[in-house]
Amino acid sequence: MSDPRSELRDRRTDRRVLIGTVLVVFVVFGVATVPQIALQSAMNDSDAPVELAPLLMDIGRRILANVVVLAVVFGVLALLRPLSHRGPRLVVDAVIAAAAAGLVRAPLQILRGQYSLDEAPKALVESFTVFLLAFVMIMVGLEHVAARRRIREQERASMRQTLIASAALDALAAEELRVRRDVAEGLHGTVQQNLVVLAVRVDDVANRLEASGTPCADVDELRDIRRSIDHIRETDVRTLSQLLYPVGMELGAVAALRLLLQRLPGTIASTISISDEVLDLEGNGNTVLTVDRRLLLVRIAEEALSNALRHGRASSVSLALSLVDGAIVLVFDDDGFGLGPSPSPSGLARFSERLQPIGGAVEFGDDSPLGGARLIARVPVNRAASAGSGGRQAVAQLAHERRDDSLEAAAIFSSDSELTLVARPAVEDVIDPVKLFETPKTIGDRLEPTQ
Amino acid sequence: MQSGNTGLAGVVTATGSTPLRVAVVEDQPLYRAMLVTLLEAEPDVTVVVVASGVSEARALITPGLIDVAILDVELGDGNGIGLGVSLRRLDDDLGILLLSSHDVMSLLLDLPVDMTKGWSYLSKNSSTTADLVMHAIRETATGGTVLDPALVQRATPRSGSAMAGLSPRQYQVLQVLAEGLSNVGIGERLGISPRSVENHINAIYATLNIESNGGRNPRVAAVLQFIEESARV
Repeated sequence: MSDPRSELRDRRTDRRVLIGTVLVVFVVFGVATVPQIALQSAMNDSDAPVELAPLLMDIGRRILANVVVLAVVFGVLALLRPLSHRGPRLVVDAVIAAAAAGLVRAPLQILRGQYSLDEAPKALVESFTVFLLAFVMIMVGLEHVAARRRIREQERASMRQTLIASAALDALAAEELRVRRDVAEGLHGTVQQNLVVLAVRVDDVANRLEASGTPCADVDELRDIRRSIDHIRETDVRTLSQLLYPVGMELGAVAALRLLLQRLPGTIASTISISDEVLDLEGNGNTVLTVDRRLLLVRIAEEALSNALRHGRASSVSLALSLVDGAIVLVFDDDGFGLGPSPSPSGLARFSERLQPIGGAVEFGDDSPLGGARLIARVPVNRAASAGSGGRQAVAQLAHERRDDSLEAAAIFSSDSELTLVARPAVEDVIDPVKLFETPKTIGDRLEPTQ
Repeated sequence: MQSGNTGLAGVVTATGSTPLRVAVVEDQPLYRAMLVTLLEAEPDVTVVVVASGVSEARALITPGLIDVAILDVELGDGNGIGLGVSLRRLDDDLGILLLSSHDVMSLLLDLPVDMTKGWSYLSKNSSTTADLVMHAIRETATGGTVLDPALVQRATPRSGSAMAGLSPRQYQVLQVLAEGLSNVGIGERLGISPRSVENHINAIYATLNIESNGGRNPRVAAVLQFIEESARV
């Protein structure tokens, strides 16, 4: 156990379980049976009818005696601290505590007047019985604690496994996104610039040939090649780059969506409205969503846009973002032909599959106020841990500790029960999700089942 | 005015007027060095802070220390938009000049209403000339807005928008206004008198429903509407 707070909590729980179990056993043997024994004893002592008042007095005295014995058991156990021991030492602790109970019993009974001094051997026999009963009582308690401990360990191990698996998946997803971003940046930067240079060189050659009086057809061909290069650069490379990783992703969902719509041809009317709550979360450079959820929002908008333009032949689109019940709600309207008789929102089914596990949803209907199709997507905001369970806090803590030069990690938790750990390595490092958790015990030890 | 605590602060040039104090926040070392060299060569500007990221910039830039912050939008540990907003919250007079290889001028549309003046954007691909950068710094320092000329000239009015109702000449005037030119500058560029520039601008305000005597700077409002209602494919 490395976390003192967690250790303390465990010890308290164990102590509670031990005391509780011993008390239950005590009530069964040391309280519930007393009236029966007292009655038996009263009837044995005389043939006269049993009177209630003396009987009750006797019951009270007997219970008091048993409580004193119990107090001795607890007192000795508190001194011996059996919960921090294991194996034979545990049994020795139980024997000592039970023996103390037995030893106290004989003088107590003599003092109480149950036995006269001559009957000391009788009292010793009873002491031995008490010793056995106390021993059984303590052992039942200790065994119960051990069982609870085993269950706790198992729960923790399984939570640890789940956590590692989930973190590994997320780390892989994050890594894929990183690679995509790098490739997209490479396409946008290096490839674009190389194509610019190439186009200029082709132009130069064309100019020189023209000056030297080369046949017009050759020059025209070169000019055509130059136009093709420009087209590849402006359209193909840009589209490919956008496919890999949308522009503006690092600036928040609002930025990415604005940059998506600003590139629409001028013949398409477009409006965007964004609520202040969404701006606070994902606008003006704020980024609260995990990259995968932001990407999901942008991809859904792309799909809606593509449906509107390709199938609906829309001439006007509108996009609205608002925050409803902890989820970003994207409403995309168009004035196109709508879904038509046989809608095939296959692309949206894909998004639906990805949204469902995180508590999101996407709907597609024919009821846009603009006259065409309307898409509504709900993407829950996964915000940082606040009132989460100990496990969430543990991962947040771990992520915080891991924030060093080589690894930037952030624990982000969804509003639902899903737990995600996003690990972003430095660009030079290749992340190894297993290495990230090479000391899983540390996490596990801090995991507390939600109380 | 504050002397600053960066060690770089307080540089005074020998020229008569006080040079504009700028901060350069850029994560690519080569581009950063190029920008600083370019600016240091100008007599009426002094580079007070050089930072490679958001946290460094936040630590170095104190209120009143600089006139204009030149911020790369894509920074390693954050982004220039968020940094600009937070710096501006601390210093209302600070001008923000954003640089990016992508056309991110739409992002100016989301700025809080009380923060819209004094924000400019230049594309990294076309911002390598000293004249352009200096023009943007000067305008931004006085609360003006300058948009990248190459991108502005490529923009077209979006169908169905108020801006689509401008005459071609009015749209031309608005384009040059969005580049951050004064009425005199617009007149010189388009070969018309400042008086007719003024007339055009009033007509533009009317078409775009901008109150020329309202609370907002009408020029800034016109530029923002230009961003919102133009297509930049």
